[in-house]
Amino acid sequence: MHILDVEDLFISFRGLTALNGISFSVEEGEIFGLIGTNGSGKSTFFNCVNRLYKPQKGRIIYKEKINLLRQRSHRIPELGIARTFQNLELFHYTKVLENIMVGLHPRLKVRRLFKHLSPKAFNAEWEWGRNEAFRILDFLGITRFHGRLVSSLPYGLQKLIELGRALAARPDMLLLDEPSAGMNDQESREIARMINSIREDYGTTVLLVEHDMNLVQSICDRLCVLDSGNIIKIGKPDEVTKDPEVLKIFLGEETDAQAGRH
Amino acid sequence: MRTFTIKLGKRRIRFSDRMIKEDDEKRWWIAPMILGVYLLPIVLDEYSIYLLHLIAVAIIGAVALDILCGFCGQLSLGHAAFMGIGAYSYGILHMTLHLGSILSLLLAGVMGAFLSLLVGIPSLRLKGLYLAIMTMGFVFITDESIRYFSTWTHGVEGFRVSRVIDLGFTKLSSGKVGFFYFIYTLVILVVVLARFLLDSKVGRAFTSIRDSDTAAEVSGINLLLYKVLAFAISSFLASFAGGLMAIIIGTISPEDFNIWLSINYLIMLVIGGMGAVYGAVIGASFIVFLPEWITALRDAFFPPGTEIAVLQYLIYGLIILVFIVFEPHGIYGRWLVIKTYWKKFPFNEKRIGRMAWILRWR
Repeated sequence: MHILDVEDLFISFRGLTALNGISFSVEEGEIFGLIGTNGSGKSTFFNCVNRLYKPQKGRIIYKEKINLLRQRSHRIPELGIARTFQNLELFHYTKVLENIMVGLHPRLKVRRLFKHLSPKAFNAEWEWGRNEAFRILDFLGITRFHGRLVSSLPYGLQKLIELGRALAARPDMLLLDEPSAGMNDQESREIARMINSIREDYGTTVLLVEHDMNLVQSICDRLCVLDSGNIIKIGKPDEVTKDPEVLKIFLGEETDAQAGRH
Repeated sequence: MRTFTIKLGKRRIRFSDRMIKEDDEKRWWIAPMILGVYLLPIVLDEYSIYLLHLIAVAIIGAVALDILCGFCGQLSLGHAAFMGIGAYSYGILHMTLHLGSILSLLLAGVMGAFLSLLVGIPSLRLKGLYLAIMTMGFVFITDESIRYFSTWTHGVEGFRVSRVIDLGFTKLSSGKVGFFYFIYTLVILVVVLARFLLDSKVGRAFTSIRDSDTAAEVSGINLLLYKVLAFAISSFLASFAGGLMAIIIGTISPEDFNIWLSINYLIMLVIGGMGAVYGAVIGASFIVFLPEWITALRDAFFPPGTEIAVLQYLIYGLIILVFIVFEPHGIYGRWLVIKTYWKKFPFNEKRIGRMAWILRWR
């Protein structure tokens, strides 16, 4: 089953085309990588899925029936799509545990305002939320930091906390925007292992924007190469990395340019 | 979980930070505190009881503003407008239309909550200082409207409101002990309910909007709903407090609800500790008591005849400066530091002030 079908998605910002009518599908349960140079529209695509941007044309069909572009942005996590950001978006002045608990928001049952005022419902929900958040912290292996202030933690841990917040919504599809940016080799291997176990334990489909080619090749099932809003190539990692056109984009066009100059 | 074990003779004691957190949530001192407040009228004279009435109104108003500014992060200078709307709504509903006291008070609150939509909905686009300026405009509009519709509001000459409240089974007049019990029951109700609300998912949604609204949005929080909700709850309580204020002071006029009142409430929050319900309570009590202390100070240290107003603004300014520079988390923040210090006594961390504030009760 296709979990995501992108059809002819087009978005431009005052004449600057960010996505030029791209179409592709993502299978359920796969790890799908989006790669490309800076400004090729990878993060823009994520923002379109999350409804932070409004595309001018096209459709994004989720689970073969829901058109995401018709949904309000806060409904997206309820449908089962969670994401992380390239530049961290965390609640810096609250504790780690509460950051995770905010991610639980779409799963909390009590909807009516006045119900929050009854101690019984309040205690039950608070207890449930706390246990659930601890379970996620245990999964990520950062339980011992639960009482710490987020801004007092190192960058790598903050990345994990953001991942934890996304996982708290129990997503069917996880959008990870450069999960290994700013991390050292060991940490990025750790992240790769984590992404694999997320897929195995939770059955989550993962969409991944990444610059680290080692990471991408080791975990992705399929890759999509974007260049200034157009899809260059979709396929298995080893096929894609051998493609001459892709190599041209990633290694630059010196050969052509030099040939032209002489 | 961070655990550590210490040996005391033959006994081994295990500590963990989960334990310390659990320990924080003991609420044994709430009941004695309520009892203490209820026993106050036995020892106090009439003037002090009147002062405690004003403190009660200030506490409800400050908690209301704290929900909006401290928790949801929407800086508002429009608080006076909502208190004015509440006071005049109560006056018109009760005195002119002869509705029951409690019903008029509640309807005054609903009126404030409804009118807060006017500033709540634009808050989705306006942030920080711009929102503050817009809400300040709302104060001017309310002020002028009160003057303009003088057939209903009696304009600048002042609206006389009955100082007696009819509960159905009994009548309480403000300034008396009975009214004291009535109004402090309301205060305790407001504080307890605010604590519950702010510790639930609604409170978490508010704080997450304050810290980063993009992250809140992708976590499934409806920004418009929760911002409007924060404005509505805050304005409901503020208007309710305004209605109570009308009963207590008896005569209300537009000057009672100008921009200085809004600023006064912001000062209460800063001095008490913004973003904590108890901070608002402490700040409100402190600021209402301050003129009394200043009078005592003048009598003790300054030559007779020194103008109280001059001294008051001088000391106000000094206190704000000192708090902003040395104690940004307010009196409640400092109390938390002291408490945490003694609680963790042999295992203190560095920068305990910051940690205490993070681990605070809402």
